Amino acid sequence: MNGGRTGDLLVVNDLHVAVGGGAGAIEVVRGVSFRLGSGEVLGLVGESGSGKTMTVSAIPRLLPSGAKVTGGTVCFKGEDLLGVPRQRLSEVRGKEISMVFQDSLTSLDPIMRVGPQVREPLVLHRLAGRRAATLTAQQELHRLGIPDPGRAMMRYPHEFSGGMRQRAVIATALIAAPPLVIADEPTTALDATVQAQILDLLGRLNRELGVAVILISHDLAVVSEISKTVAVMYAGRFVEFGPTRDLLAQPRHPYTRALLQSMPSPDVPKTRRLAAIPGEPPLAGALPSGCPFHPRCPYAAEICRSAEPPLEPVGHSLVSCWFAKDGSLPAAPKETVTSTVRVLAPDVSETVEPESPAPDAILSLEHVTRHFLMPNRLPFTAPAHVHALDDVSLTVRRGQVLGIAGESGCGKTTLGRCALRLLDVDSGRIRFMGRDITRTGGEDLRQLRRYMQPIFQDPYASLNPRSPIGDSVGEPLIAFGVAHDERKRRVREVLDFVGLGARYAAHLPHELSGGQRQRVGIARAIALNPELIVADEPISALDVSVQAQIINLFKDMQREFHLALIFISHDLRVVRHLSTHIAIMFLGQVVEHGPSEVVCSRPLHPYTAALLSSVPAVLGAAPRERIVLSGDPPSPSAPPSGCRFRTRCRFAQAVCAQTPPELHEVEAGRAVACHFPLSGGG
Amino acid sequence: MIGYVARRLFLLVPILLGMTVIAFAVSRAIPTDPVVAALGQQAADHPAIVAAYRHHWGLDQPLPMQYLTYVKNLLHGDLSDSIYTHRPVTQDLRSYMPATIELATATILLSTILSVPLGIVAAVTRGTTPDLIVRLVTLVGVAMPIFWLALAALDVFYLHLGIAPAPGRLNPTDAPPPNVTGMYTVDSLIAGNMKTFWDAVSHLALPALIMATWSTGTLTRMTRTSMLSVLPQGFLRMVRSKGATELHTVLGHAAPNALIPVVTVVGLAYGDLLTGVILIETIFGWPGIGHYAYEAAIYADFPAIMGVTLVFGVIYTIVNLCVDLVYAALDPRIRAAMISGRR
Amino acid sequence: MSSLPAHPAAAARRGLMFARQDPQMTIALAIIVAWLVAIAGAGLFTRGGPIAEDIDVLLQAPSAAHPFGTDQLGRDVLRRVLYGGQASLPAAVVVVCIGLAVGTALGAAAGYLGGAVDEVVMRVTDMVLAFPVLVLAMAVAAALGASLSHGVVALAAVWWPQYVRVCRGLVLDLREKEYVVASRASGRLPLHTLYLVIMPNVLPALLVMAAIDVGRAILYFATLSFLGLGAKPPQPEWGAMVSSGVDVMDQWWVATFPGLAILSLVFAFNLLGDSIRDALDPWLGGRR
Repeated sequence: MNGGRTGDLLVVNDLHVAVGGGAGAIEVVRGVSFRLGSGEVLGLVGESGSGKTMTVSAIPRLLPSGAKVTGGTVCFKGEDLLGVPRQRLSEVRGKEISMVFQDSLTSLDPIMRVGPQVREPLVLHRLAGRRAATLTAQQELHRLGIPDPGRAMMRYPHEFSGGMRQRAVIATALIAAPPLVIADEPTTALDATVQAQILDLLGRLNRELGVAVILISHDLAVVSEISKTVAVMYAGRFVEFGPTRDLLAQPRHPYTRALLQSMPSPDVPKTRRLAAIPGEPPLAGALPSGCPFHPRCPYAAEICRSAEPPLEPVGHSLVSCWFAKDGSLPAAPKETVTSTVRVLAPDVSETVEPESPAPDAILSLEHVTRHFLMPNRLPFTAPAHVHALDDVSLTVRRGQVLGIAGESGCGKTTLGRCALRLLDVDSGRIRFMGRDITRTGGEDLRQLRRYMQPIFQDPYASLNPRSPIGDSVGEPLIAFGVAHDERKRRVREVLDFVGLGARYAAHLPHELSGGQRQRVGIARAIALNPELIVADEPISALDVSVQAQIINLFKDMQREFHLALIFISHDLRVVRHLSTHIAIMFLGQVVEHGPSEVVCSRPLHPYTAALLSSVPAVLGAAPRERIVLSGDPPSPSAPPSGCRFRTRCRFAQAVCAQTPPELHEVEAGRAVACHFPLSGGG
Repeated sequence: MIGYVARRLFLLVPILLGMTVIAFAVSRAIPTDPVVAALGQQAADHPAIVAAYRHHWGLDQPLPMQYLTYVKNLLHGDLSDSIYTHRPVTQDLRSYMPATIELATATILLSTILSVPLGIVAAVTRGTTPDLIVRLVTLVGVAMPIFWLALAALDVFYLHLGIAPAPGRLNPTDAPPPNVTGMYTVDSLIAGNMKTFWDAVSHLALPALIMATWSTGTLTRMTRTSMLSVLPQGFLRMVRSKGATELHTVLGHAAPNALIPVVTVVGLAYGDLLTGVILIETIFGWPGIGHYAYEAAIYADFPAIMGVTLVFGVIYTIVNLCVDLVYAALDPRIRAAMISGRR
Repeated sequence: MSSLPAHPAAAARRGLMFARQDPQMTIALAIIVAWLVAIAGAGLFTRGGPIAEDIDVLLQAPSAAHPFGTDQLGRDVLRRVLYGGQASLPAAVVVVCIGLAVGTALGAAAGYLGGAVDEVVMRVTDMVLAFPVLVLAMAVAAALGASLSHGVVALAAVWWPQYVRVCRGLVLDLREKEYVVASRASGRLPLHTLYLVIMPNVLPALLVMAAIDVGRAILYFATLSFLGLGAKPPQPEWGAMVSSGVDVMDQWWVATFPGLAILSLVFAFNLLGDSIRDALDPWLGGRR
């Protein structure tokens, strides 16, 4: 790709970016070229470390300190931005090219009111006086759907919710009417329903204002929602670049194809393992020879190991693969992802169908309530309550996977911790293996821990940085007096099971990647052969291509150990794929509960329906009506009266504000808390 | 905000009570006879004085009652009499207070003016020569035995070079300005006497400068650290992406964010200051509480020592309360948390 | 897991590499080690005790025989500075060690047990912290009567609360860390979780803090002595020596060298603290 057609807004040619200097410099962007016309939307997809953020940061020269452009040109309206003096750059930024960053909380100056920040581009570029700029800012906030913009301008960023803040950031980016907006993971930090709102908004602004957008995400589904063109990055280069529809319908690069296949979707039968990509994305400093994807590629041949394929046109796309030229990849090789399952638990001999009825309840929560008090140090004032859990009843049986889904602040983490008795409940009862353990404490409680284990979200925080892996995995065994030899044997066994191998026992956590650490977390949880495992967002901190591996590992674990699993996640795709039953939570309450396929295919609660529709669909095969919820989730410390969902519900009636709906059984094993449940169908 | 201030004042009560407990405990922990310590050997030889003293302080009663008596006398402003000056300690403290406040305020102003720009420059030029120089100088500053530096400065600037005036607050030929605040610089300005004002300032300059070594070092280092933690933050990238110049980014957005936490260090620096006051006032013949404390220590004037300790403790506590309030007023996040009672 | 150097040559090479990588820490350690050697070997490097008087050489300027000169009583200033370190440095180390031990124990108890223990410990801590450290130490020292050991007791008595604060904060922080919750959930005895999981992650930070504090303790101890509330003459102590130099300001060497001794050693400890912090927190470091 060379030269610039007239009419191209942005032409990036052979861009190289390196981090560090001298001999230790690491190339993180290795020759990226693309052009973008006015009003176009380009989606840029890649995992962490793929160089996507570096690529776009180089355009307005906003690279983090330590990184610098080592080659190429960035022509914006015919002017090479890499060569212009700093002062010219200040003129371009904000007025010609503006940016929206991932984390809206850190994108805004915390001690400055929102209004002055939104209008700042106008003031800096002397496009308007302060007063006129304030008015424009108000209009911009209004256009972006912020209620009462006049008052909103006077507030501080921390007083806004995540969605509102991101709107304010987008308003700032748009206020000087730049022809190009670069949005770097603008929805990643947001809840699913809010993410849907923001994506909708970006698409609308592109259509209405003709703003060109470069949208970056790790999630192919998010990008495909609004981009006409998508580029997939891997190890600092584009590996596939073409029209979104072609790329999704007929992915030509094995990596793109694998990414699409590894996503849990309703089309993948629950009994099947996901087609996970083996291994982990390479580190920028240690790329494999030849094609950087070859160690993870099922089609890799000799040439892939020795030479890196050029980016060449195939059909309407550009693809960097030795085998893409022929039109399509070789026939998919046989299932390369071999199951790591080995029979470990002596008492389980046959694999049990996950759906088969398993009568014995392992854990049941009955009307469990847990409030948090905001610490209040002054006497004589009423302390504020946060309703983390409010009258929640759930049961999980042996062999079942109970998925708990909901947005941040819905109480799902509190539920998990209460279930494991890591937190005390205010009222209600917890039964575990037939025993009331609500108030069990001390040594009795400690003895129970043999049968219940947690798996945590953050694989970096959940392992003691000073303990070798073997010690961490062996900790539960030590706690219950397993003898040294037996313990070593068992640690080896479970490390093998999770696919790490015994040699990792001597490693320290920081020597492992995120995916490997999460495997350690799982190994530790199963070491004692527990009856119940509670996994709290165990995959959300992992790279996309690694997530499928861990999901598969959970499937293996379930088949192997036949235990009761509570799987907590904000991602309904994953929950649906993994669970036999689903409970949807909203603001401390279960609003819908039932067998997962039934709940997902025929949601009864309007919130469930909205949550389902907010899941970005990759292929968009059946163009669905997107239910975009208005507003933000209400505050858990002051929930609305009556039905807590009513402020965001399009079916809300007078009764919803007065009477809280009871969770009632509508069919066998299926319950919903709504006055006007949907009649079925999505 | 008013509610928050009230709440903080309310919480001051147990802390002040606690301070009296500690002061009481220290004064009762003396290995020697407390009566002798409090009255001095001479007076202790007179049985009548001893008996009166024992009764006044309730020494013939059990310990808890003694404490109550102590607090009761304290509330009446009674800190006993100084052995050395033979005047009530409260009266001594009141007369020495203005000189100390004048010196301390000058010091804090001086070190704030010096340290904020230094800290910002050091942070922005991190790793290069200006940063290295600032760090070296401030590190020497916090490691400095200021009593030694004060002696050296007096030796060089007064005895040898004759640039600095003799110790004291004014030239012996000048009469002090009419007493309003007790601070000569302020009082001379009120009286419109510029000659006395400049004289007072010239006497104030050297001791304040020396005393500022500690607090300037601490404040500069804190400003630098705080700036360094703000500089990589995302919102500055956002500001740059709006088209702001580097100068506007640093001074308009980074510095205001960085300086808020530095305010809290001013409170801590005040503790060093109160210590410094004792040394510097002694060496520069500055008639303030610090000088009083030194003499009390030299002459084992126990009531005076306890009085100074308590007063310094109260000043320190109140300064830190003010610092907290200022901090809350400056940072909208803290302000919100405090008003809603979460802190 | 740390690997030990295989043989002396490798160790030396590693040492050299370290010095190049972190000149700041190397300088700090060099000064401290030099002082340790000088102080420990005071008897070897100089003849005669620190309080041996010699009326033939009163207030002599620095010379070959007396590199730092002599004081009012004809005592060799260099000798007294070296012996003075034998008072200052151990005193500071003892103060910090007592403070660290008491503060860590109380802080860990307050943070891990919470509830009433936390309330009581923290209230008392807050009360002591409400005074400026040196002011309260002065009061205690004055109450006990001036002497070297009383100075140590006085400083130790006011030194511990800062460690309680920090230790409690770290423990509270760690208590919510996932790996600590995981340890609890694994069925470990609570005390084992505290000793084996929490404290090993708390102690390094506290030890760094303590190392830096040795410098501050030296400075404070010298200040107490300067005010006549620590070591008493004729015992050599740096603060007290500066104080005695006040009377003979024209003989600058009497007060200058003990002052420089304080400055250099305190500076070295502060530099050490800075470089440790830089090494632990690369972002706040001075170098790239």
